[in-house]
Amino acid sequence: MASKSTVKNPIAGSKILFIGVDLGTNHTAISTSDGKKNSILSVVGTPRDAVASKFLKKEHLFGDEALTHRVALNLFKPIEDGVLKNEIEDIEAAKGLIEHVLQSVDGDRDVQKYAIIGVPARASVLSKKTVMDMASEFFDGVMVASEPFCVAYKLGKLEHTLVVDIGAGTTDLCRVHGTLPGTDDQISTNKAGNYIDREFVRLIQDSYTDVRVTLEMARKWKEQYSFVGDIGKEVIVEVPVGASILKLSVTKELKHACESIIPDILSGISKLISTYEPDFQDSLRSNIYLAGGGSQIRNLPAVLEKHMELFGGGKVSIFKDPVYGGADGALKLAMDMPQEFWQTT
Amino acid sequence: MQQQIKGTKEKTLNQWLMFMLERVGHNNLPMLLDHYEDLGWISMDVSDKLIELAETQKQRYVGPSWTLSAEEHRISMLFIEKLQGKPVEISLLSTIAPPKAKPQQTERAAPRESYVESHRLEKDELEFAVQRREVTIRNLEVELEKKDVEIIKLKEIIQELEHELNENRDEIKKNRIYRGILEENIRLRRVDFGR
Repeated sequence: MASKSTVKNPIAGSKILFIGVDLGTNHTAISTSDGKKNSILSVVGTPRDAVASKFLKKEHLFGDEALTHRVALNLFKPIEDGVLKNEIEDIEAAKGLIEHVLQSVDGDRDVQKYAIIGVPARASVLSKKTVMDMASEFFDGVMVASEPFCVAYKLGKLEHTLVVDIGAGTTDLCRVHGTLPGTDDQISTNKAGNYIDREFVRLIQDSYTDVRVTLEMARKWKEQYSFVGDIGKEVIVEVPVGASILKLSVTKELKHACESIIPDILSGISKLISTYEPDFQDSLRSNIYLAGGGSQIRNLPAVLEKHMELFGGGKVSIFKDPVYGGADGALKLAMDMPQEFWQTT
Repeated sequence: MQQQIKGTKEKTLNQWLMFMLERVGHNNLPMLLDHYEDLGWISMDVSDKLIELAETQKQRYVGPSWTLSAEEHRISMLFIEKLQGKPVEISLLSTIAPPKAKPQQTERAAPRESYVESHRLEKDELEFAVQRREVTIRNLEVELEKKDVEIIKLKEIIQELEHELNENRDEIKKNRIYRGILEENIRLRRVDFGR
């Protein structure tokens, strides 16, 4: 469901509108300099036929609305594993998404619009170029920036900080040390939210025969109950089995699915710490921040810290705003960017 | 008659004592008498009697040493012989060998006026110097206080400058970041995938 809220220190009545966008696999979030925010599922639907078109009275449906009417729609998820697909229909769908979220925050009015769009840490040049070209028709100036770096910028942690942004498509690790992170400062892995969903479905099906669990159901259960380590509570869900619905315990399956992303995160953290300036390695390991939807997995910081004891320990904290962290960071960056830089774009 | 002899002996004893005191002084007399005792010229009683007698003298003498010249010892010997009753003409002896010990000043003479005046001037000068130093110290203390205030102000300025420096460093860091993002995006914009 789309949500709207406001940011601090908005520039009301300004003739320039700065915008931060987090074009994520699962959600697209937007923040504007006049204090508006919105986040929707990164899903676009078009009516399958004339009947659906007449019934829905719309040519494009977005986010939750599109999911609700998914049986009557051709659904597009233009972002896959954090990357904008390079197919024409997906690019068109992504344009539709941007236009929609922009309208939702009253960003289509006649003002100069400068935007920064967050992209995965190790997104390819082609991917970044595609996003930039796709978005340029909506803004007077547009730039792309690493998503985890945007989070670090929002945190104001630009020195010896490691951001682990667990999104739906990718988990991005980014080491920030007072300058723009380079290739060696960033690690990206596909083991993220969607990977957990797939693992969760697989593990439930392995445990219980004849269950019909979709990725969508798994995602909802995950968002509600996800955890790692031991929480001492059973996770009971209603699962369709054959023609009936049964209450089943999925505690073990959910725990294993959620923990399946931990090895890659730990390996990335270890690599980024071990290759960092030795004098500041301790500072880096004490400044690890989890961001993105995956940061909401219960007990994750404690479990990561426990595992990190094997290679010197560390302090893991959670970034408070998993939904708007990237978009707010991109907005802050856009607003702080020297004005003349926007004229160059 | 016996009283006359006794009076003569005492006179001779006094003359000899004066002879010795004028040459070795009160301070060296016991050593000289010890020497005569060692030579067997006088007995311990005589020695004690002479020391006792010396202490009753109003005028005290200070001598450089207990030693006497051979001539002086010879005169002492003559005095001893006279005391023993031998016929020696003492009046001839007293002029031989001049005295070496000096009379000791027992009471200070009143200082001369010029001396007092010069000391008074010196005292005035010293008092002036002390006063001047006190003034200098006071001035230095005032100056020190002023410097302390200046130091506090300078420290505040340094703190402000350090804060400003840190802000500028942060600004530079951020500008480097903005420039990096801009350059990356310009490069990206120039990329042509032939679409």
